[in-house]
Amino acid sequence: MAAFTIACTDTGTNTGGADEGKPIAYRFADWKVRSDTDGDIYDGGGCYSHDITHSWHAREERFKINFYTGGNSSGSATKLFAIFGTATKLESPNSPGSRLLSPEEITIGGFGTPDSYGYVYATLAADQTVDVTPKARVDYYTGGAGGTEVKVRIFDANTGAELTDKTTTVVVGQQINLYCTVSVPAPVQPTNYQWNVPGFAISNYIASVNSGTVYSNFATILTNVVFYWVDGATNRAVTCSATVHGQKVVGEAKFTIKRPNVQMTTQAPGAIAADANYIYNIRAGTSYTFLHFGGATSGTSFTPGIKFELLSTDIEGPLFFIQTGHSRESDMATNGITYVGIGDGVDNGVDPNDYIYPLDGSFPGFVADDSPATSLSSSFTNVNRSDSYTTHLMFQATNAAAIAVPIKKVDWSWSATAVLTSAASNVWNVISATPPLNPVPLNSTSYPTWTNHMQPIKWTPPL
Amino acid sequence: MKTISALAFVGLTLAGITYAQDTNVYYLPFDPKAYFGVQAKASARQEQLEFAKRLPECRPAELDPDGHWGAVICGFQMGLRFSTNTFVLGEPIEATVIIRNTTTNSLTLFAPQAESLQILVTNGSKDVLPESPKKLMISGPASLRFPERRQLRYSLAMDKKVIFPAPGTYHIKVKRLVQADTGNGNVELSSTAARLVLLPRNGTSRP
Repeated sequence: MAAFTIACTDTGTNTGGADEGKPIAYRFADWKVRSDTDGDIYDGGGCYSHDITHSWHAREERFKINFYTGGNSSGSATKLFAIFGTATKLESPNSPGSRLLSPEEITIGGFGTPDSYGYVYATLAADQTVDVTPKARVDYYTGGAGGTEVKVRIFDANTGAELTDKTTTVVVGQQINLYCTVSVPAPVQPTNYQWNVPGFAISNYIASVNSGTVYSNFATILTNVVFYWVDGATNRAVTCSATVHGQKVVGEAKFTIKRPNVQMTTQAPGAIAADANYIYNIRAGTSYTFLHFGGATSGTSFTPGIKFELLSTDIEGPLFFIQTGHSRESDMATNGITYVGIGDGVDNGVDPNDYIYPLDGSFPGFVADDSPATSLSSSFTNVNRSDSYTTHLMFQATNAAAIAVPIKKVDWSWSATAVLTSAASNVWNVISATPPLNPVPLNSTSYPTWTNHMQPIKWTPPL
Repeated sequence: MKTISALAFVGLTLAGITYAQDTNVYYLPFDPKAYFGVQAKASARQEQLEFAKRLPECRPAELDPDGHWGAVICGFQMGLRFSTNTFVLGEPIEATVIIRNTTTNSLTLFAPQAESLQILVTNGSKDVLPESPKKLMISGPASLRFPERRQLRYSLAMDKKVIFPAPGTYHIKVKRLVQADTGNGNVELSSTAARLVLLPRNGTSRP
């Protein structure tokens, strides 16, 4: 805690001076005869005022104001202080009259002449004591000193709570909306505001069926800053700095950013086949022949191609899947034309006008799965399908204005080629098949991005 | 006639006010997310309810005459709506198809893919127009678990699904199969027919 104290220094000298012609008493004279106690008034701190004027005095004792800069600084090793000093010239035999001295007529400690508002600005180390005594080039004057730390304070704009020098716990995706203030004597205006936000922080993430876009940049040179953290951390320090009288001041707030620890499994139990034993046929009442990865039925159950199961999480908030990828199919037709279908983007598996990949109600708990397939007809003789996907697990905090953040991702792919073996009965044979190779969920901070929905597949030439 | 219309309007309005005060009558959007906590789920439900209150399509069928809601089959109901009943031939015709669980129990919708929707179009002479030939590209879940009074919304580019040969008046409805949770086979679920007028591309007069 910064503090001002008054002390007096006994210089040990005993220099004589000329007799003062006018017997007049002054308190707060900064000099008196060391051995002369007649008329002393104790002012504390070892200082005396002296209200008896003699015909002789020596410069023995000096009034002094010390300033202790306080404990450890935050954000940097130094602090900026605004120190003001005032001095009033007192009447003396050789200089009649009293008046308030202008700032230009005084100095404050070793910091020079104050500005026109009476302040000097000094960057000082913590835990240091410095002399801030106002000095004037007159024999008799009184004065004082005071001041304050020029402190940058950081606040939560959503709640109004001050966060300076504290550690605040937040959740990934939670909107962090901060502003900082600088306590500086008017009318000084701080300049060059600068926020430092470490970690993976973004401006926004906006997802729709048409696009998933990460907005990375956010303004860091204003008095406020708005962003979202994607990654977790403990005691991550955000600083706001500004320049006051050419000197940099820094405020700091620390954050512990919690990120959900989600237990999730991935399996790829499905087989690649070309037949009508595909779950869609059973459920939709159709009888198409499909080239499919997974989805084979047995009784009332089926085996999905790939299956993602959420087991637990330690932070409440909705979890959901977004699947993006690339699908390519090459269909050689009986007319000699090869049709190539390509789809890129988000794939929600149900409606090409939505982007969140829904859970499968066929399983208890929270399970998403995929069993991609393409219908086969005897108008074609050779069909090759090659897909690669990333299935992202997203989390959205329950706080107002929170955005979704990626938690895990699973990269997986499958490819196969089927050839028509009986045009009459539309029978196909799989001649090559590559199912996903041991797909595993990995922790991820990579956002899914897309600029269109994977469906409908775009065919060249048009089918 | 005017009196009857006015009374009907007043009746519908009063019914709407009554329903607006009862939050249990709205159909909330299907929520594809996983909730491990009760609080997050309740919070999401409240947001969805506020969303649903603003949309006519979330009202019960009797309060949504533009929804072309069909009969309740195995607890499901299907509706079809257009932003207008007049389009220009050759320009986009966006349709919204909604399937809802009208019960207070969870229901399972099998084969929830948009590909499961069949579009039936008749013109003035009752001919059924063919759907555009399609190659099925299926992915996604085999079924969706519908909690009580939830609904799933599909957006269909009707002009790409159906070949409309000429300007005229068409009646369109959508159907698909649903399966009772008891597993007693597939049953047809459909909307009622919506009437569309397709104007010639370079003209504004009605055919």
